[in-house]
Amino acid sequence: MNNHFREQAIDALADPQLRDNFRGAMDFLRAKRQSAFTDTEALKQLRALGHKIKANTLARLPDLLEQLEQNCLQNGIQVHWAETPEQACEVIHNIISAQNGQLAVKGKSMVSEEVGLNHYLEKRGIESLESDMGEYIVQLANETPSHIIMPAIHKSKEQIAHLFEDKIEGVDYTDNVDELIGTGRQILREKFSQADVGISGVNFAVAETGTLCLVENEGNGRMCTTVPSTHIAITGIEKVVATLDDIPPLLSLLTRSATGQNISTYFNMISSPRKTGEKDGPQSVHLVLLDNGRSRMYQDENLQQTLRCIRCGACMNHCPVYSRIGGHAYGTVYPGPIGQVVMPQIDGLDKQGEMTEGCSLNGACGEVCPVEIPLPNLIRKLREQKSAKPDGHALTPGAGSQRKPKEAFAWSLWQTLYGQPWLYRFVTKMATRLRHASPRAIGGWTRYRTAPKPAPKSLHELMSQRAEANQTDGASK
Amino acid sequence: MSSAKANILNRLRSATTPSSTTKSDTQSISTSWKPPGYDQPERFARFKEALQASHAEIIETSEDEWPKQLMEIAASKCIAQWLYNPSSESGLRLEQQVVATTQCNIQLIPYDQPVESFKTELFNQIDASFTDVEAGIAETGTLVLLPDQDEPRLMSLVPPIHIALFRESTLLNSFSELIAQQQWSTQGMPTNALLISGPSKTADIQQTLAYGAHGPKELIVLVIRDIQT
Ligand code: SF4
Repeated sequence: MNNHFREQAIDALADPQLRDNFRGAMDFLRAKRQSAFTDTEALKQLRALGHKIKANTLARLPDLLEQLEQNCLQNGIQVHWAETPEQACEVIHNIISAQNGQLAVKGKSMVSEEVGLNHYLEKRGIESLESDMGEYIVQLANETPSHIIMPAIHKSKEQIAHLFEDKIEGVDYTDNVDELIGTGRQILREKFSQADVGISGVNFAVAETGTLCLVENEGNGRMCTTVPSTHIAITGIEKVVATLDDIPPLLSLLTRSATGQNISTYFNMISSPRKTGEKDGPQSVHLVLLDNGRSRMYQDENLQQTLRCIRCGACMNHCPVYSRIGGHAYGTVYPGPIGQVVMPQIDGLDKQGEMTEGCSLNGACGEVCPVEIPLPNLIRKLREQKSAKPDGHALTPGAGSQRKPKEAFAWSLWQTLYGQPWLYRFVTKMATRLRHASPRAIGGWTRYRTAPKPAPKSLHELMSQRAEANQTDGASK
Repeated sequence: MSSAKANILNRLRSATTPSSTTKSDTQSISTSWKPPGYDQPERFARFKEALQASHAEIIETSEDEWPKQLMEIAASKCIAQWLYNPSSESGLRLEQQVVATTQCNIQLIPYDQPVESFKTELFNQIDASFTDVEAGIAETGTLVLLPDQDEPRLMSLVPPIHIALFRESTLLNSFSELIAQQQWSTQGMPTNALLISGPSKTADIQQTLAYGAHGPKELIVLVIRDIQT
């Protein structure tokens, strides 16, 4: 599948309703985040700490994963490893079919989107129902999430009202949000009590104690991990943290960056299946650890920083490109700045390289990232790799695949020009003197703008003239 | 060892650890972080303000008065079917109060069987639940619940109204303080530990806040002010 980022972005820009929906949502989320971080000095320190905690975790990643597995096993949680999306889906399908499961209810999990779990299960006759309100709406509309924290952010309440009216039997049109949520609540409660399996993501997996931590506001995550007799959690290998002490600062960074809350309504720490005598909770708990390119990102000293991400979504909320084109234009599971860094590394630069161009390198994402991932640098790095000489140095798949001979030639000219002072002086002189001969139409640039014309004199010339004038001035006194 | 596991770990181990991160300071980082500390009565004020901001109702009461107050809530909200824990001290006092309040029509229901045989009743009939609280966190306005066989996990989730009995003397400053106090790092963690900060909610439809997305629509906290200031 080759992605058509450019065309999709152009289409999105032409949709006024979509642009309105995103504008409203982004302004809301930015204001929320800002009001949660009033003390800039404290924020700076907390981000530095978040960076350090995650960096230290990564430095010990293989050991921590083994420690996590060991402690989970000791607690009675079964651990599975998956290198690819197919493996992860297969593992999960096997667990479900071993107990003849028909219905799985799901909490929010971007990793399950990443592996295409719903589709996989559905093709094998297992209903896999999203239960987060936003995800439920998106699934009902046969769409994919457009934001990693607020999946249905691209829809207005009127659009959702029409969707419910069309797709849910016996529901009339209402754009009253409480009523809409009430409808979802009623339908999903029924499903929670019927489901054989609950599937969730993981926000933090604590190696020290073998604990799975989940952050949520709605309570559907707690339903999924408590009511069905089996709970399957799926997560990327980078979600492990060393100790419980690491959790409070990371949690504080996560909820404040994501939705401006000091804490989410629920913080759910699961350390074992139902014990003897306990009345509820799953009889068995499974943890699926997914690689899918992460151990490859780990090899590159720079790109490894991608793995610090705690999936808060702040980078997309503050991205001027994402705010205008929305999540679907990227055509990938993860959109926005973090998507531009993650997706090419997972799918390859040949398939997802183009999306790295949807960035003005304004730096907003890097400035808000709670774990200080230098997103603009990483995007630049990936751009460089996609156009690099295919010499086999870059680890990212598809490196060099988007190298254009004309572009490469232009840059090598540029390099020669700027490396030779005499040549540089000569060419700028020619450019300023022959300014009237400069072309009127320069490709895409002149479609919406007038063509730039070189100035009559270069800055260099102007400055040396001024220096000369000053000198003669000084001499005449 | 599964081959997937071996392959993943091998790839991770073959990488050269970036020089910016050293293994030596891993222990000290998070403990060097100072979460906020509050003095009395600021601690309670912060707790109350934060919890109210997340839409919980707070009723300040005393050790003697709370059962009576609970009955007033029940009357005002027409709570008929009430999930409770008969083996806790507060559950017993609730029982006594219901018996003493002759005119009220409350039915107390214990969660004394596995959820598999209790689901229909739990999901469809119960109006409210009454639980104890292990501790509170002032910084974020949070209740800490450690569900067990007497107060199972779903008690604080499925009924539309959750009423929690909280003693001010169990109020802590921060989540970090809780982790230290419970000695989870050394003693291990309970099956499930929950931090609850308000009733269930969502803003998934056009950023409009709605309560009772999947869990309780109302969270009522009876606070026993057992600290003299
Ligand atoms: S890259 Fe940073 S800002 Fe973006 S989702 Fe990840 S943690 Fe949040």
